[in-house]
Amino acid sequence: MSGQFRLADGGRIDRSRPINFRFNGKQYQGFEGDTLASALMAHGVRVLARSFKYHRPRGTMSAGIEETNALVQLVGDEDEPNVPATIVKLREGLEAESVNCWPSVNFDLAAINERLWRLFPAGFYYKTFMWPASMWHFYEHFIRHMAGMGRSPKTYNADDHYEKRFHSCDVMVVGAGPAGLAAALAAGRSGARVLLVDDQREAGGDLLNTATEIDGKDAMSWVAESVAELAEMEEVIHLQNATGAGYYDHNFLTVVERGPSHGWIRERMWKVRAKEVVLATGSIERPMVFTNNDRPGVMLAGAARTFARRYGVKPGRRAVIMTNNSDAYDSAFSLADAGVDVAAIVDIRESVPETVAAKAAALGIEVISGHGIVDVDGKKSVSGVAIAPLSDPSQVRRISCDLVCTSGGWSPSIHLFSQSGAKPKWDADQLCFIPGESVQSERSTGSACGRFALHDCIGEGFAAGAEAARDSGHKAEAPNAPVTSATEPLAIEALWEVPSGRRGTRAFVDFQNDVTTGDLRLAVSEGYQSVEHVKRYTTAGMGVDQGKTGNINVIGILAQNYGLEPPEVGTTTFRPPYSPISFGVMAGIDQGQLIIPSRRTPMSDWHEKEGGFMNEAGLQYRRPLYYTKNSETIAEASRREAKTVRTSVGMYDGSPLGKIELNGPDVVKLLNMVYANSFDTLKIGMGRYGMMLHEDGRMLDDGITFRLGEEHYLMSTGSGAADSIYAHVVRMLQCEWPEWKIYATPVTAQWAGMCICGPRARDVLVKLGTDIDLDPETFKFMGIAEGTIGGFPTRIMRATYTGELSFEVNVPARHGQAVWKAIMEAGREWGITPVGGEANGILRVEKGFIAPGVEGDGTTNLFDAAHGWAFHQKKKDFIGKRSVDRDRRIGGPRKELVGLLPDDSTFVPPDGSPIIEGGTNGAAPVMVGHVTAGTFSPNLERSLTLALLMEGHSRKGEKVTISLADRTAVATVTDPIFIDPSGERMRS
Amino acid sequence: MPYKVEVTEQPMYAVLNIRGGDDARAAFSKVLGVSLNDQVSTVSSKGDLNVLTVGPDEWMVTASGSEEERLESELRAAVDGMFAAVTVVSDMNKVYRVFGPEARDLLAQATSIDLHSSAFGPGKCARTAFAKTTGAVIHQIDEAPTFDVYIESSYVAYMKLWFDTASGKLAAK
Repeated sequence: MSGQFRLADGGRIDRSRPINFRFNGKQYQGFEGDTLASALMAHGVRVLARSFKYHRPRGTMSAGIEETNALVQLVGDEDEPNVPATIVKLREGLEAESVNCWPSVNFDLAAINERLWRLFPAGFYYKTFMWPASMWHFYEHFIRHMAGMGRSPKTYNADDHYEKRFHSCDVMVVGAGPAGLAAALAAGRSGARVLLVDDQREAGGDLLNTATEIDGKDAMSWVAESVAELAEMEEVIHLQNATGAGYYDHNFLTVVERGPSHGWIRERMWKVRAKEVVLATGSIERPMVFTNNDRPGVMLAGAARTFARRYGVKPGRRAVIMTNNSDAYDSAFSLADAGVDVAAIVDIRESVPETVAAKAAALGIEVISGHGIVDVDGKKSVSGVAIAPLSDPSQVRRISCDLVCTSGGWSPSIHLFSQSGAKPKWDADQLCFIPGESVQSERSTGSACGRFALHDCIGEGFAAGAEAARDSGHKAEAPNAPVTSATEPLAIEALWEVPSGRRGTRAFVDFQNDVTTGDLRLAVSEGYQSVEHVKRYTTAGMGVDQGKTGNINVIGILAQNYGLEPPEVGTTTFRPPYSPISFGVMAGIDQGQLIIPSRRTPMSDWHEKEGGFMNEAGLQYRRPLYYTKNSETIAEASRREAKTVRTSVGMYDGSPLGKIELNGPDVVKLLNMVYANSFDTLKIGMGRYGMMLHEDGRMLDDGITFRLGEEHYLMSTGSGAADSIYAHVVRMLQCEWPEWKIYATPVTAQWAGMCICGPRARDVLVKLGTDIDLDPETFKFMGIAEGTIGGFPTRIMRATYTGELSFEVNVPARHGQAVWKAIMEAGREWGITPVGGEANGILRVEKGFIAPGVEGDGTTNLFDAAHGWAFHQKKKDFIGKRSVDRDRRIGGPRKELVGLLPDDSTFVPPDGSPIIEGGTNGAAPVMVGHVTAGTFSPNLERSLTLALLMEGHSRKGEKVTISLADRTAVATVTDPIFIDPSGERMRS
Repeated sequence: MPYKVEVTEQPMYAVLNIRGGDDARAAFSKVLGVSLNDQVSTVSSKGDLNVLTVGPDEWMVTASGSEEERLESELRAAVDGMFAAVTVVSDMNKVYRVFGPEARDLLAQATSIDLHSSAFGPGKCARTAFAKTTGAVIHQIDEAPTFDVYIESSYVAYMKLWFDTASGKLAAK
């Protein structure tokens, strides 16, 4: 039941808690503590996947996140593609499938690619599928099916919840192996705020996989005691199943925690700002490179040790070890302990260190020095190896086995270190890249910086943690390191590739993307000199594993081929995340309705109830576009609203209009500087239109500024610009003119704003009742008055964006809904209608009221937009003056604002339609302008548009051609104002 | 199952934004009966009245809603003729009271401000981005911990959904 390769005892699994799971439709049983990989290994399931390009059978080759072969698709509730089987926690009911194979992993039709492998070297797609060009879409269909591995989930799981949170701490420690635990202890004991994260299920790092002693006891007791001590420290947070994902600027790091203690959350992202960081991220073993080194049953030596010691599984019955260093011997001895017949240790080193040689001899394990593996027998499972002396690869000797354990050395995990912006350096003794000089407040410790001896890991871990705590402002001491079992020195020798001695053989360097040594040689011979180019050309290191086991071998082989040393080849850029993270955790709760922080006005509820079609209309405000009555279309509704405004009265919700209170003796200086107009003569109780320019003379915003008192003004901005114009004003006051005595206070959401407009507007207010004198002689156009309306406190402005008699009624937001309803009630006898954004668009176009962002492109100044009257030439200086002056001095034809009346008065050209000239006699037409905004005017009962047209001001009366998708239309150029050009109605 | 935190919508506070130099400050202080702190992000309080220092010359006066009229007229009168500003902003500030042992777990999702007791505490305040809104103000009231969070009133509907989601309440259903 438990599998013929399961050991009777040992390992950190619970044999009293069996777990049932399915793989490729077949039922199996494992134990609590297993991974999917270890449970399948116990049952002797060897072929878990097919390789990406050649569809070669592949099996598990590692025991962790660095797994490059055994990617599976999790199906069911936790549908997830391309998950390494070596990190999938076994749970009851788990269902997984192989990827990249059809119909099954054991019989895969695409294995034809393997027969044709010579046609598919690196970069083959740059040289193929090119002819005939018309066939590309045909090829693409098949390529699409062949490329790619797992599948994305098809359904949205509403029970999946994700969270993101910020976190600040004194010391962040990444990695809870011996070095990281030591660092966290030293820092924690000082009282510093510590965050310790580790991506495994439990703390201990490599101590979980090896048999070592600390203080005369099993190392895991030391781990348990350390974890318990950390748990008692109030200021220490210890997370397992939490990956340090990325290292950014200013000690900002991300951590992705899977299955946090708050059970409704599937994954949580921690966004951490740490004063000090300790990187104890360990190191990852790399394989040796030899012919057919990718067969199922060939795995990392350390992984074999892990399966035996940690998961209680024999990775095979008879093993051959292939190594260039002494650490693999410990793996061999662990396998022997577990009852595996270790047939031989094939060591490339001519002379093997005495300690390990003696121990091997005592166990009866043959050590064959100065030799390498030149071939592996077996396709779906290893059946034997061919070995030969390195000096003469033709002298082949075969050894039968079902397991090959390879070790080419250990590569410190310098990913986060490198992401922090610092550069690694090469350790020539240990043949690996280690951290160089830090550029941020961090330090590495343990095997992450090439310190492989356990005693050093713990001792230096204590020191690193204490240093980090001190640097963050706490008093800390590093305790002495405990006594530990000795660690055999690595004594590694370089052999980046075992020569096979034959032609046409393949040795893999990146298993996931099927990149071979031949591909690397191809890249070199084709002239690729940069490791970054070689990476992209061959795709080495570009898979889900990001080359964790392959990249250093690639660099070593390139160095050999270039005649350089590995540090001269260098590493490719490390980018976050360290391992794949889900989109869910990046979104957190910012999904669905929470993606946009929608804003509402005090009258939004009323709009929705009364049939307002709400849509997003700038600065996240949801505003009514139109109000439907009796299944009107949007065109019918908006035209009805616009017509009612000009014939009777309408009201729209103008609350999002930006409002800024300005106080102080120097306010006029500010107004004169930010606006093109002059505000010197503005009287109390009156307002003035202001045109704000960018420094380059383009129109920035427009609005009306009112004077409420001697030194008290109220500026208004366009609705979409409330926040940005406030920021602009504050920037001017803080950076440019800090000596001016002005206070600016934003009050947009403080007031509900409703604009009553139309010939009957005054009647409505009179009916509602106000203590403000509405007589047109007293309350003039552009005036502002304070008082009450319907009993509520109010500010009323005679300002308009519709061109009709208008009163903008502002009341404190708490009264907004009540006053709006009261006005609607009072206006009933005149058929008052609520007015939406669409109708507002019609009304403004009829009057030629510009929207600076619409009736202007990157070249339009206010003269072009027929607003030259707002440019106060006599003012000494204002923002944009010089640029506009320069434009005018240079002269030349410019795009200018005009109106257009299409010959077909029922047709409205779409916004943006180009106005063209030429296009006869085979020449291409030239664009001389475009339609900025068009509408069908219910008040004039014809179509009309605003447009920007080259030299438009002097072309009034001419006919122009508008280009449409399938034809052209003709229109007459007019003044950009179609109704009441003298403005009598708004001044009434 | 959700975080141990309660979020309640407070009845509208009286909130006034007051600005001024040294002379205005003294005048404000006399009306309010508390000193206006120099140190930005600190709060001086007297009963229900709090004065939050949100800028070098900018304070947020908050009190129970019924005090608004009196505070506005008395503060205005006190600085008449001086370079100062008194602006009522009660309606644009929606106040949420966030309290409970896991209040920080909730707030940590909204703001990067460090609310740990070593960095924050009763009598401190901070202006911050909050979830996807900007210009919020957090004021810690006591060590329960209890916080008052002032958020622009146009975001009320978004904030209700956000609080219910971030607290885990919706997932608990």
